[in-house]
Amino acid sequence: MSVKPMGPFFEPIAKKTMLTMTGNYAVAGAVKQTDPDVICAFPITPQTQSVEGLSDVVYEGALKAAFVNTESELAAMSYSVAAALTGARVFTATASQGYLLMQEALPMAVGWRLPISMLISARAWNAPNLNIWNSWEFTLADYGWNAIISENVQESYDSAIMAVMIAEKSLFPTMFVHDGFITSHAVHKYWVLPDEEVLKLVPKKKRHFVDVDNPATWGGLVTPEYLMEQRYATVEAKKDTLAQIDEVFAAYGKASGRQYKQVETRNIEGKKTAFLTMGSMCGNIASWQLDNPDIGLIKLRTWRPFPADYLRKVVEQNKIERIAVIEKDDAPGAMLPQVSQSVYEALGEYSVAIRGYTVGLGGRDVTADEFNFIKSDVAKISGKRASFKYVGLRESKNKVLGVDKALDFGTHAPGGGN
Amino acid sequence: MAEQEEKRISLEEMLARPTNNYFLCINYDNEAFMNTGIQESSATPPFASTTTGPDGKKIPGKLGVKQDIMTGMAFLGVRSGFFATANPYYYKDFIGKVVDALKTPGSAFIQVLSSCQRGWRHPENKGPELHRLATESGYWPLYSIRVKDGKPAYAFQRKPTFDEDKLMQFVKGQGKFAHVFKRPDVEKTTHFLIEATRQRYDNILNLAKSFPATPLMESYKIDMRKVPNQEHVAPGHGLCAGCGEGEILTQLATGVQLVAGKNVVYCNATSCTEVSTSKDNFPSWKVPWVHMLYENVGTVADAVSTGFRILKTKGLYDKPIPRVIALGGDGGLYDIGFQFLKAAIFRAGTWGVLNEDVKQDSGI
Repeated sequence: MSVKPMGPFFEPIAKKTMLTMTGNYAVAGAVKQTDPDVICAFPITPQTQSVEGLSDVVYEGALKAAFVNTESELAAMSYSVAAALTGARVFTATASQGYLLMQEALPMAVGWRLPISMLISARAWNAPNLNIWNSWEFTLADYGWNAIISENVQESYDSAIMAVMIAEKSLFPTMFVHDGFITSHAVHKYWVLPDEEVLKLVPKKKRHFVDVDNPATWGGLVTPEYLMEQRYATVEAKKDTLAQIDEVFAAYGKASGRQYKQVETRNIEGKKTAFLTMGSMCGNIASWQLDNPDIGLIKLRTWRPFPADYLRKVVEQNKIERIAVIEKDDAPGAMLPQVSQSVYEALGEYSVAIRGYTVGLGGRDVTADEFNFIKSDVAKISGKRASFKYVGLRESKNKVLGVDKALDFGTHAPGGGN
Repeated sequence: MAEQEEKRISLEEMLARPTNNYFLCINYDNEAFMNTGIQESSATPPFASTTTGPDGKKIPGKLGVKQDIMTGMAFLGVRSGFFATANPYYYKDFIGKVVDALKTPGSAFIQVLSSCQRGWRHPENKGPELHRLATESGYWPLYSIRVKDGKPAYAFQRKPTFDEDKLMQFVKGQGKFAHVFKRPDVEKTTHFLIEATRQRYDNILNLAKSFPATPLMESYKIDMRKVPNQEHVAPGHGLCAGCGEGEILTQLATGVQLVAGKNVVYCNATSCTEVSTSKDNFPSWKVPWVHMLYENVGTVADAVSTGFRILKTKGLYDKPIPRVIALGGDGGLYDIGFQFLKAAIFRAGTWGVLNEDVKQDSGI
């Protein structure tokens, strides 16, 4: 079955063009423009259209690549790592349980310094029930992968190209994330770069790879004599990555006219209280800020490596006193969920009060009501205390914490299978 | 089985074939998770004592039978391929099968028996004798299944026989079965062992009768004096003295080298061969070698092969495409790695688009 929306990418794109597509198809188009050699696909909602779209351009003859339907996500990641080892440019995509299933092969991509790019279409994972909608599974673990997060379809398109640039510049695998359904299935207008422009940004270089004329072993047994130094080398090399991401953002900005920063702000100047989050929620907050100009927004565009210095600079420059970290994950048994944790660590030496707020799990809408609640809640706090609370939580059948009216659960469109 | 004509396949004839295969899966079967300390796997035969299925007072070792994956692999529905059992005691047969597999397009899978003196509990110098008894008794018949246009054809390289006495010699030669003969239910357990083995053997024979090659008997004709010593694995490695895997590595590399020279990449599953040939900064491998995880060697090898082939197709790789060998064992391919092995074999035997592309674009 041919996926018609990929039509614009069946023909060469010669000039900057505006298209209207969903997030996943936009990613497929961008990846196609980067000329990947191997694409590893295993279906999982809400990621699947990205690889469907790529199969379309391959089968249509618009892209020469090995499109491989693998037997699982662990196989997709194994395949990606091993194919990248030959020097091939590799793309794969996943979400939720698929990301969890990939875990065992994720660290090898880092250890072998392989520039793989991967889309995560963020989705809840199964516990205690299955839910195919949006939460942040990707914050659970990264093993040294780079991660950039996008807010809308335009940013997803740009991220798909920048992820290849970042991966190949840093020689660390790079995932780019958009929120499942909210961005992956949202139809937006967005600008596309000409093919030639994209290829200039991601020139094919010969990387280190398995070479029959220069034999080596990869992934052999090491004793306690060696592993620590190997881990140390990886951690040291990772320290250059943030600066490399800056270079990529600058180069991409020059080519596209869209300049990204690792930590972006909206209406932050002189604000004592800031909301900090990433992904699609930034858009909600931006419109809510129209009625709440006393609250600033800090948006993390880069999640890993964590852009701590940039965050510190924002806090310092604006003398921010309170930060509400709003995130779509939680952490049973921990003091803070993952995003709050990183923010807390980064701002350890600052006298800024930080609270974590867990919202929108499993695709629940995050509305102005929740932001109003968080605004009044965070105003009451002072001092450093690591804690987080749920907002928008159902307290009884018709009462939801922080929300004026009961949630209407009839609005979710069915999302297909799992 | 009726006496009939035997086909002789010469090394020269195989090497002269215009056809090629770039991807071969090898599963060495030592009948348990030996690398982690002799734990039971689905390859473990009935009543064998392992560290997770010990010879207890109540339960006498493994309950259940030895899994046979050859049949399933050959009947996945692939369009073309070469599937075979091998035994390092019959080294010309194994070398011949490696060459044959690398010169037959489609799926390629060889399942080779591998003694383990630690896990089977036999003296270091008894491995070859046990290997021989395994085949002579009918426990490990030597056969191949060639699939052409989706149709399998069985052939035997040793005349198949089922010999209870030799089976008992094979069993009694291994300490993992010693407890069986000290128990009051010895008749019942040995009867089950014999009948389970006979059933496995009968199934193979019946399939061979239903899907026979003509002729049904064949053998490989190789003059070992003309075969150069392999230069893929250095003699120094950490395998136990008397380990079957050492023989297998040498014979496998000898066969691969005949076809590929040194243009080869070995991919190893986590296993005894992996840990004993790759340690620290003195690995045994003189050709590229990759190990990633316990279970995914089929997928890894498939991906390495695909990586080279697509780069060649796109004009980004200018050397001849290397052969890729997936090597696993120790239960890693029977159990945890089964899905990956199956998928890699299946893709290789069905997914011809890329192969066709490579042929057209690079003149292979």
